[in-house]
Amino acid sequence: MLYLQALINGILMGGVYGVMALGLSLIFGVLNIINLAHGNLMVIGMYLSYLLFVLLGVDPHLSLFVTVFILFFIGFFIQRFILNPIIGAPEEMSVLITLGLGMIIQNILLMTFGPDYFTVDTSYKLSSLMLMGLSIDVAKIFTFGASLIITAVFFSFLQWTELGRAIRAASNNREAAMLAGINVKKIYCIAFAIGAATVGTAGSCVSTFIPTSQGAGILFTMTSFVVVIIGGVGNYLGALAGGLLIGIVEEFGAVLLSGSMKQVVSFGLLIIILLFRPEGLLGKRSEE
Amino acid sequence: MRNRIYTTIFFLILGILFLGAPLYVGGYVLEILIIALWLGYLGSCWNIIGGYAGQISLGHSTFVGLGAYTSTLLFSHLGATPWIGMFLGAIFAMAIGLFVGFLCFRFRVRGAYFLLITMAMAEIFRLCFEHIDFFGATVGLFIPTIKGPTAPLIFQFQQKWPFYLIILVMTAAILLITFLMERSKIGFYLKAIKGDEDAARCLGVSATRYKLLAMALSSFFIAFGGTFYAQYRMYIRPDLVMGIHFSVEIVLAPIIGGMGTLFGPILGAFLMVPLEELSWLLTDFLKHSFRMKGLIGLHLITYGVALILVIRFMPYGILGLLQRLKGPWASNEKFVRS
Amino acid sequence: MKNQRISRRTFLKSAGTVAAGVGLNGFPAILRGAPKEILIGAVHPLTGLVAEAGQMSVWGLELAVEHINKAGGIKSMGGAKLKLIVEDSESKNEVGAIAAEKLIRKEIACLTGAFQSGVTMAISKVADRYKMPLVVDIATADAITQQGFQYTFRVFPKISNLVRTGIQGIMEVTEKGGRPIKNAVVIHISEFTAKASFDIFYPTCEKMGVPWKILNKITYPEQTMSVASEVSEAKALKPDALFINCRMRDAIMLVQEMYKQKFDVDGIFGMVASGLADPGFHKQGKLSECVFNACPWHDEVKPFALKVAKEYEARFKKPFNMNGSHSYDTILVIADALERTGSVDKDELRKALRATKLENKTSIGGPIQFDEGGDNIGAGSAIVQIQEGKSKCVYPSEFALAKAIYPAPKWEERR
Repeated sequence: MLYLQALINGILMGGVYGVMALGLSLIFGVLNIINLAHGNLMVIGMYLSYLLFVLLGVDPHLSLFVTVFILFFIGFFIQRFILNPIIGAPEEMSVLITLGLGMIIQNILLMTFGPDYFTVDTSYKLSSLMLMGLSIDVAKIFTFGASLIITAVFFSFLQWTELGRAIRAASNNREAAMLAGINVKKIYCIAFAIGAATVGTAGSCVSTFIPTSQGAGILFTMTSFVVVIIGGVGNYLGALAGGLLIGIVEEFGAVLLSGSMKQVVSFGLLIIILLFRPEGLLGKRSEE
Repeated sequence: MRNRIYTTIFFLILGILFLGAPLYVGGYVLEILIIALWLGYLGSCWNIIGGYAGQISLGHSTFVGLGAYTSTLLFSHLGATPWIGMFLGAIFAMAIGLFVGFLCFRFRVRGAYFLLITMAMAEIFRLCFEHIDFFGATVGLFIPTIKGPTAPLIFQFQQKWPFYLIILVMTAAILLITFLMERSKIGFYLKAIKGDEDAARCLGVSATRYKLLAMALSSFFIAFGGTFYAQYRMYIRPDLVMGIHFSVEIVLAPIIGGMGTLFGPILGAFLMVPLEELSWLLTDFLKHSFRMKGLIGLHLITYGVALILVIRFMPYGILGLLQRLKGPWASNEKFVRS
Repeated sequence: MKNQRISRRTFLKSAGTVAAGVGLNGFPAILRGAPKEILIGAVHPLTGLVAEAGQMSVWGLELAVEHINKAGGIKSMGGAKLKLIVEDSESKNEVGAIAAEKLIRKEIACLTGAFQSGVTMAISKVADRYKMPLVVDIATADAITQQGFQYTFRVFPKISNLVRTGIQGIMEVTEKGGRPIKNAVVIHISEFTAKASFDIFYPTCEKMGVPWKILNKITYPEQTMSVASEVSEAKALKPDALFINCRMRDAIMLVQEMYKQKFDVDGIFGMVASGLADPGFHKQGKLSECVFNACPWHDEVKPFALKVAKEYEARFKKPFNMNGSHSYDTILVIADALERTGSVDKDELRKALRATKLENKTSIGGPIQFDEGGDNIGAGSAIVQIQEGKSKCVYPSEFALAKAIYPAPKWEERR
């Protein structure tokens, strides 16, 4: 019974992990940037939802439209002014720059909001569905639903819009895309912006059941990387599958080991995959 | 020849100034010096693998923590003096470092993925130590204060200046080791590997072996810094001596000061630490005069900005930039790798 | 030492910066003979997870300083006024230690603090290095007074006594309620004080022959994001009661999670859980009702204590509770000692503190007197229960204001 509960919780969380990973997969896959500030962008999303909830009373699952907008601009700005100038540089550079970026974001949030935790006290915060002795958080159900919708939107955008095609082209072969007349720099900005916006919505969703604090960024970043690597960089379906897998694995880890150790399981998995199958479970071996 | 004499005199004077510091600076400044030297020491150890070998690791906090925990546990459970405990800690850390390095380098893990693996390692160790009661879990370990004439034998001093001298000697030692390594065959090969690993391999350089050596050296020596911290603060806890946040702190000084340069980490540390104190003072001032809640984290924002600026405009840090300005390379060449 | 003093002054003078302007009020006065102002330094967590409680303690200190000064200051020193300088420990040992150093640099006569046992250990080491008298207003760990430091005293009761009285009280309360506890689960944060209290709890339970069996001990990190798995684990064991120790934030998460998972118990007993004393926890309505806590408390019977409590609550709009009262009493102790020595000499002050016997105070228990190690022999402890949003003392009978509600009503039945 305990395991069934863990399975359900894992699937519900997995949806969010998938969304987080989609954004990173896009950034990592298209721009070849190891975005260590990814989790911090998600935390910005959490704070935005908190503010909108407290000031205007809007539920985070609805206010995520606003969050998407704001984070899109933030992401665009970051790529345009900070990351575009180092296109073509070795990966370590992007790592260190996004590291600095993450520090800046985290500490601006710290200075603005202080080190305390904030909770979004929605009306359904204490509600849970009781099914056959299992308790399922209503907040997590809403979040899972939102994750599915966001994922669907993300996929359709990449598959069926011209912009989406341009992004995919630029990720495959930068020079060729440039030759085809695509403004690669602008595409990069839009890609990063989409990545940021996507992970921001994940932040909005989880703010309903995870306390908002400036320090949560690094954990989210690491989890996103675990999912992306496991699913395969640039493989969006893999990101989803990876998300569900990690969600379930973490919940089982919490039951078998203890709540505080569940990240150890996913980090351990990350190391194993990076060593033995770096292209991910669903990825293909690439020549580059 | 004259340059040599000037440089030697310069360093001699610097050395005397540093050595005599406890005599003419107050407790507060001495504290700052100790922290700066300690950070510089850690950065210099990291520099061996990160700067010279070009393998950026965000997991070196683990080795510091392992050093601290090993000597502390040996002391509290077996009464072993930390002077010996720190060597055991260093050996243990080196073993872990070699293990991780072996896994990564043997499997030809790319630089970026090596970074991710070290990050994961750092967090795994931190979480495990937070969870296991024997290591003190999230509560941490206190080192009982022992006073009296035998205290120095167990690495405990009532005053600050012995600690200062110890860290000074440690820093000088690691600088010497780095200097010797730089000029030796090892340094030469590491430079080749850092420049272009595949080409180096083609020329017969065993990249794996030398990267492992760098990993072993850096993890061995950085562990001593852990024991020093434990004995100085008399208290350790996983989130203080392990984990990604601490790793980032270690790495900031060498990056800003200059990766792969001898004095880069020290310079970086001596820039960062006073900066932190200044932002403290600023926060205090604002708190008292304007009743503001305080600017906690201001110095960290400054680090972040500095990091971005440095990577963007001076990818090899301050000293790196100076070195290249002096060298035959054009100053507008940004990146070595093609 | 003298060498350091000179260089400190030189450094401070030559610094001439912000720092010099900020905290050195009264600095010249102390060096010139009879002081017009006596500085007392306090290290408390003003930011971080326990900021609210830290602030409430500081208010207790400030109120006492005001009252002393209004009554004429330290008369044996020509009516010298007390002045409180507070530094934020940010709930971190490192920061607390540096804060203590900063205060000592400002030439305080006495130090107090630090709310959290870890930070208090850190500042006690600093204070001892400089032979600065430290009167701990709030901190429970036994270890603090076991370090052999001659200059450290503590007004707050120590954890071993609190646990013993707590267990006694719980046994009495549950027996009176007609349902002695048969099975219990322990849940607590992985933190210094919490661990210390339960490390003493288990052997004390055995020694006192308690009727309950501990089925499991569940711990979680202080900064946890969720306690869902911990609560599920506890629920699966079907205990009659829970013994907990937590901060306010996770206490709220705990009761919310229990509610969500429909996990009912006869009673939730905090074992010296400071988080349960926080006003924020009291505002949880039906979720925090009937939660017990074994802790020190303020005197709600004696007129002097009641007067102080009233003024405190009217001024600061927060309950006086155990933090405010022990901080208040600490200033009384320091002022009393200063009055008796007539000087700020550290050794004289230490001797005077050692000889303290203070009857007029705001916390429960006997007169404040320090033993060999520096602990307050008279420190008292109680069991309080949250009833109608307020913590009321239900044990021991001399200080009790209300009857305990046990067993607690089920979650569904509460309004």
